[in-house]
Amino acid sequence: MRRKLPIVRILILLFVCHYSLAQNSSNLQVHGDFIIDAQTYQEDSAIGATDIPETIAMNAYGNINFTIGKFYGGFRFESYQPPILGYDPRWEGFGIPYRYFGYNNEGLDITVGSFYEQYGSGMVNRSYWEWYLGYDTFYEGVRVRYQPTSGLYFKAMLARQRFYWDFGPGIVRGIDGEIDMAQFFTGLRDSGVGLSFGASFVSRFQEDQNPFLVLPENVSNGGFRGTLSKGGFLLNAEYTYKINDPSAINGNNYRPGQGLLINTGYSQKGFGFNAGFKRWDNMDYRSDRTATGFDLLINYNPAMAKQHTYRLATMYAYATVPQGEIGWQADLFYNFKRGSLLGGKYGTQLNFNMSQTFNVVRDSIEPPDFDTRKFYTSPFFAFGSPKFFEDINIEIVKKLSRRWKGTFTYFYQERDNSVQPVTFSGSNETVFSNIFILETEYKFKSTKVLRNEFHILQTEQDFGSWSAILSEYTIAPHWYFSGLWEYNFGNPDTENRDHYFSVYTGYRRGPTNIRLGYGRQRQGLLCVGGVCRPVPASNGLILTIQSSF
Amino acid sequence: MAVCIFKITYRAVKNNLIVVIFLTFLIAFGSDWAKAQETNGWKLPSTELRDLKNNPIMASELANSEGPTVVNFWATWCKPCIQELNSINEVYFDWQDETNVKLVAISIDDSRNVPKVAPLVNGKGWEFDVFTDANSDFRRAMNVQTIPHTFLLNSDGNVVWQHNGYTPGEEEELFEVIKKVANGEDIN
Repeated sequence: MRRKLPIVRILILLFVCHYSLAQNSSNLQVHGDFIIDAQTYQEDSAIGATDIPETIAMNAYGNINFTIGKFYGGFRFESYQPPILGYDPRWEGFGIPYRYFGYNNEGLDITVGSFYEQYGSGMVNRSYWEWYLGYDTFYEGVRVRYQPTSGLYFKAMLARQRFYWDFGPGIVRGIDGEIDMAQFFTGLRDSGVGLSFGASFVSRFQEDQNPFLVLPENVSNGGFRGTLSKGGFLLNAEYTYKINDPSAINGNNYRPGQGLLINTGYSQKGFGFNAGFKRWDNMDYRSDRTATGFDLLINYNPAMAKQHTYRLATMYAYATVPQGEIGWQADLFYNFKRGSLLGGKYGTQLNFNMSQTFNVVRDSIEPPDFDTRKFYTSPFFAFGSPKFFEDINIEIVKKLSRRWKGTFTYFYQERDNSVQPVTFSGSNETVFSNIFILETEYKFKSTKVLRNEFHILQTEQDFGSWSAILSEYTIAPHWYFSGLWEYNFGNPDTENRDHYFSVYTGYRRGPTNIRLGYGRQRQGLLCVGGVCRPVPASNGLILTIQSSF
Repeated sequence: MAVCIFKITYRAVKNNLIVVIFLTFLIAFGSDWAKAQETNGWKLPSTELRDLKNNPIMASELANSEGPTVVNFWATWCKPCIQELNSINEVYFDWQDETNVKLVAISIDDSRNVPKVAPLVNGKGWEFDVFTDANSDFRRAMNVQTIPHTFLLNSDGNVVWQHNGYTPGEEEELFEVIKKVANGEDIN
């Protein structure tokens, strides 16, 4: 019963707001959105799909944001009864966990209640919400942002973090500031140089209740960052340092953590290049030192790998290793102009990407020193073993005629399955794969389009090779129909060479989107109609309704 | 079969009664509020975005006073988004000539992908302004769930139309609405 009360109160509040403020609505702006994701489950032992006692699972939320002059506020109702399979079962329940109120005037912005925050690249502090991943770490507390003059700002916060339907045990305090030098030095501005610096500091308090170890109750994590730009050139770097933070993730190691992220790029019309480097050693930082998985993360570890959307290209997608990793990546974008040799009549777009991520080198301290409990040393720029991930991919986009358009993509991927496994057979060997994807688009009329994707994933490891065909017929602006067929033709166990069929149809009007699907889904990442989410193997009916206003 | 469907529906409603009530209210109020706002719309919130050189800019400053503004949410990993922006880019100069429209593309790429935004935008030769919203603050403030998502603002800076998703050919529908807004016509 305790949970029902706030809902009743909110509904009364809605009534009051509605009738008192709607009359004076020149000042009031209200907007919101909602999503309902529902799925039925049938048992399908061939693909490892299960049913659930409730027959139907549903995740839903509704959001309201409003502003009245300089004040703003909002709340989010959420319901998981039960959560869709693949989401953490601890989401089960409903209520209004997220609500906030704030004031914003002349550079001063104060928020009380729930809020999201990011400092710099997020390696020191980032709380965020990803509905389709079932990830939400908003802060519950107070935040102030103050901008005394253009080109300078400060932020401060004190809060606890969302933990499913509760809050984490740690208190998180943070400050952040950034200065844009070009606003203060006219010489820089006149020469077209952009230069900015930022610094951030976060401290977490959690009581020490460990009978054996003296744990630091206040653990701080800080970073410096800078951006330099001129013309099409950009350099961005952030260095972070975390004091000793013995935790479940690092096996109560007292070694301080260090992180470094450097990105640089150059681009002009028709050409773009960027390269990045990251080192991440013992930087995992949470508002509960005993938390693991995706729970209560205060900071963010950006993966040094391209994010793919094609179905088979995401089969062995990279997942970051929280204990430590070192990697690099590079991207090249090139547009062959119309009329040139490789451009042809309509031009050709080319994208090349390569990335590698390795373990950090860990030289054990022998014999282990149980007084300092630091356990290893690590040369800063050394690439260790194993290689966690490698991805080389090239994409060519070509318009062939007024009606035909094609995209060809080739990927070579290596993925280590000993540390953060993504595997279907349970084997922990490295998966080496070659992936070929041809996408074609044919326009019957300007609004009637047939899009086909042909995928081949060739590998000797895990469940072996796969093929997939996706067909999508769209009638702009309202209707779409699609079908997906995946086939595990290379499974070493010939009896398990399964087929996965599914069909989808959808209707969209303005901001409203209704989607209905039926069929078998392979475990992995599902992308239909431009939306992707990770799913376990299942068989059943899927319904999504979303809208905003 | 009919019994089965009834059973599933009954269970869904029973298990989620509060949700159903809440969403019913939300839809009822939503449409009412929307009606109340039809005359004045709502404005872009003052949320911080970054330009492609990482300089902060307030979203409330994006609106174009000379004509309509299109605010489009996209990401480097979103195929339909890139397809939509490519299609608009091909006709953008014509659109500007005819209606004075300004397109602002908001990338919701997080810090993993933000470094790829500028090279991609230039590599594809896009002619409109692009900003990044690395922690989705602006996206949440605008109630954007999935991308692509497009808003249209009139020259007073009020949101008067929005649209979720993209399939080829939809840019023509968008342009029809832009023309109406530019001429001050009723879009409903």
